[in-house]
Amino acid sequence: MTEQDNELLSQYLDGELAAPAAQSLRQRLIAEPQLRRALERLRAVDNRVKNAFEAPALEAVPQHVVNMVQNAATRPERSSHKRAGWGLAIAASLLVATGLLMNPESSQQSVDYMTTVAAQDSLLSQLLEHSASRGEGWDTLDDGRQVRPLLSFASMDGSWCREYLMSNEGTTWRGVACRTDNAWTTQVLSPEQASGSSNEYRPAGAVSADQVTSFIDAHAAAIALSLKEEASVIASKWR
Amino acid sequence: MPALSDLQREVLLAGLGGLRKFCYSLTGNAADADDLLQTTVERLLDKGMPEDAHAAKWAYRVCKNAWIDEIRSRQVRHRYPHLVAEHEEVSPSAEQTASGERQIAAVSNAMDQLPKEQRLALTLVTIEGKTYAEAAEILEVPVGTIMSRIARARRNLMGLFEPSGETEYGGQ
Repeated sequence: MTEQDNELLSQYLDGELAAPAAQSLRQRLIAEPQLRRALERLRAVDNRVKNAFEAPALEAVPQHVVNMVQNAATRPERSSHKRAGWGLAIAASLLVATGLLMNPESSQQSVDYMTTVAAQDSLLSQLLEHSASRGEGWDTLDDGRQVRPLLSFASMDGSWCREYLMSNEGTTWRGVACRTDNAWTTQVLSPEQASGSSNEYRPAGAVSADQVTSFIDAHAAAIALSLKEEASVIASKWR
Repeated sequence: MPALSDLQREVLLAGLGGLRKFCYSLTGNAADADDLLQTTVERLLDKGMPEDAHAAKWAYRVCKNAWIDEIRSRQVRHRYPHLVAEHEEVSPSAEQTASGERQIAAVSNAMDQLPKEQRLALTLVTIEGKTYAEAAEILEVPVGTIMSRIARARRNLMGLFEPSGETEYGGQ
């Protein structure tokens, strides 16, 4: 087997192959017993390494180390000026979208939200994990927000990303979330306005539309997945 | 000037368990893992981190550097033993007598034979569950480098686990 095949199999094991390449490899695995055998041997190596280090006791932190961190003095959080701009606007939008906006004047709270709470929007994350992209209709989250996945694409950093619409109390946002550590985290979010029918939207402004478009242009490794490809990736848990 | 912000301290606290596991997978035993973890935390608290740094990723990077420093230090001690006053423990520790820890020891011994760059990449992705992009950020190398290091690490481990197995690979 060639070094190139070894790398392909390794990426496949890690779920780091883009969907078209993974599909191509799966077809080769069906046709090439030697390649299939090599994959099983690599998987056995992987399992042996993983099993060796899966005991919870390995994460037991000595109390004196915990104390060192807990007792360490901390510096004040910096002002939000350096993060002002679209990131802050996104944070504010997301706060409204999730109904968590406690104090609109608190820019620091918005910044903190982007670095903490936004990463934990588990309802949105769960939906993006399982729901297929489509052109119309909505999925309703437990908190009442409505979400419509629009498309899925592989990012240049190897992660999967999805563009989506989110609607709450008459306002709609367009966003992109990417998958890391088995969770979907919103990377960019822009408000949109309804343009008449409930299924048509246009951006609130050119700037906000550009944010999503620019993000996709800057990060997409290839064209969006077809619905069939996306269904396959969802079935394999985005591997 | 305190080294960490409140948020960074909370993120670090929440990630200490994962960091300790990372230390264990690099060192292969509890005592060395605890030493490496403590060294990492001491460096973090002493030197701090940039205000916009992600505390968990930064901590992994500091840990990686501390581990490499320790390896270099050991190489010097082995090369110039007459300069070393301390006695090095070479017998297996009691913990390695347990079945699960024998398994850890066997895997650790094999991983000890990997180049450290390959071991770091494999550890972050296979044991810690990081993506290639996250591992690349922690190790400060391109994603493609992570990909090839992991593939070579797996191939090398296969040779170590199956020394009499068939050799199917071309290239290096």
